[in-house]
Amino acid sequence: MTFEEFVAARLPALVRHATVLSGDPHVAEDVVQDVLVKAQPRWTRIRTLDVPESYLRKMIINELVSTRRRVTARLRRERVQLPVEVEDRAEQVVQREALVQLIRALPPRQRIVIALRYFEDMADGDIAALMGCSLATVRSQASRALARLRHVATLEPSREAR
Amino acid sequence: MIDKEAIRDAFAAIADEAPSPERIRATLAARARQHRQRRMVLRVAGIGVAAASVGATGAEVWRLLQQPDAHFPAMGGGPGGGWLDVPLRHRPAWLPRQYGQANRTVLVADDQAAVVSLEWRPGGSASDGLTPTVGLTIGWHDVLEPNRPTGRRTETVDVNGVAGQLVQTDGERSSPYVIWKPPGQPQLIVSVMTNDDLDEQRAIALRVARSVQPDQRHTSVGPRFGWLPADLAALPWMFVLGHDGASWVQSLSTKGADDSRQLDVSIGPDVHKDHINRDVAQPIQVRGFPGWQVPDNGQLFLTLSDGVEVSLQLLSPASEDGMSGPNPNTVPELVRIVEEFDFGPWPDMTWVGSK
Repeated sequence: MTFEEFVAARLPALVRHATVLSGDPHVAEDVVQDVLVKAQPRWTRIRTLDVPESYLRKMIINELVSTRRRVTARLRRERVQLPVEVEDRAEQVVQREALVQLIRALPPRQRIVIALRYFEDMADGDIAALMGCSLATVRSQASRALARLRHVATLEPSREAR
Repeated sequence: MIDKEAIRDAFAAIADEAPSPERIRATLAARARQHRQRRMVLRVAGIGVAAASVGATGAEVWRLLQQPDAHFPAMGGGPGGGWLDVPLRHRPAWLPRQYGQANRTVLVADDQAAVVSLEWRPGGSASDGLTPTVGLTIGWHDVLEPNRPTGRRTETVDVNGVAGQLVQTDGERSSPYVIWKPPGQPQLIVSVMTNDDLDEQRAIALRVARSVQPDQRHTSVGPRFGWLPADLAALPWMFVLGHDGASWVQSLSTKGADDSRQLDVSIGPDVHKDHINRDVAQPIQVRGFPGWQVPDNGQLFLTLSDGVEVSLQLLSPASEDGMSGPNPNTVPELVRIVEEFDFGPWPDMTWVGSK
């Protein structure tokens, strides 16, 4: 498969994947573009791999957790505001929106871990292999991420009290 | 209550915000176009190398020129030589670490080598796309003018006592080149496209330019056309000798006036890969060589008796935005081109990776 054929077939999936991992469509677009620009000159070698797309997904993760991206992500997190609760919205929608905002605000590694675990149904061992870290690291990152997300649950009593 | 389904729903909502991939597609396509244009200039004429110096002593010279930390593949090639002997005339004495020669291009006009262009890349890099490249183009020809890069910033520089211009090209990925003309010598262009920042690339371009010195080595053009369609005959054509991974590739290309038609011929042990659409290809035999034709794409693929592969494509303009479109006469033209084509000796490739 040539690079052009791969891009034609898999670009939408890669963009969607990067959007989930980054929590930000603009970052996802930039990262996927940067990754493909880097991959193109190496395609002769990448295409010989069993699953070239896995290699690119790993490149996406590496790019997302790079120093430069972390700085950008931190700036974005600082701008994130939890949604104002609007009484006429369904509770479920409010909770999901709150959860989305918290997910966006997570540190990149934590967000990536729970995205891979809950959205892509990957086993922790596979996540560790993909991210190039230990199983313990994956589990600790997931634990911290879930602790932050539980903040949503703490919002619920206030809604119920109203 | 936060559960697995709630998290999954939240991620699904984020996924639904995924942007359209069209901007990325457009950017990649633009970069590819820009890169092709720049490579045309780097290669404008072509390449050639060193058959004259590659003999018993040539091999020793080649080893001396090898950089010990460069990783270039060993490849078979052939005895080298050909119908046109091309003096290289110049080469840089300094290149960035790990760079070795990867491409030689010759622009052939009136059976003469009008322009020679040499490319150096880091060892182990791919031959396509946006690989860091240092190029030296020796000579110039009017046919190259449409591909001359435009500059948005020009600075006069001294190249060993000769005034030259250090030009920063336009475009998304701007990069510099140095152009100068030593007395009694052809015009020289050193072009640099690396992953360094622009200032570093400018420094590299200037350092490479100032290191350029005479080179007594030669290269050869082995293959040549015996017949071409009237609109392509008598026009300059480009010969490129290089490699794709561990396989040598030599290509010939020519373009009609006003970009009316473009012919590309590639020859090498592995030039068919990824290019034959087996769903629409039809078997064909030319000069006794079996192969495939794809009339809708103006393509012909043959395998020679020693296993070396040949691919030809003749593109005609079909629309404002591209060179494409079937022509019922294309395959017969390609067949005749092959019937009268002189493949020459297979190229000597021992220069790959040298300075």
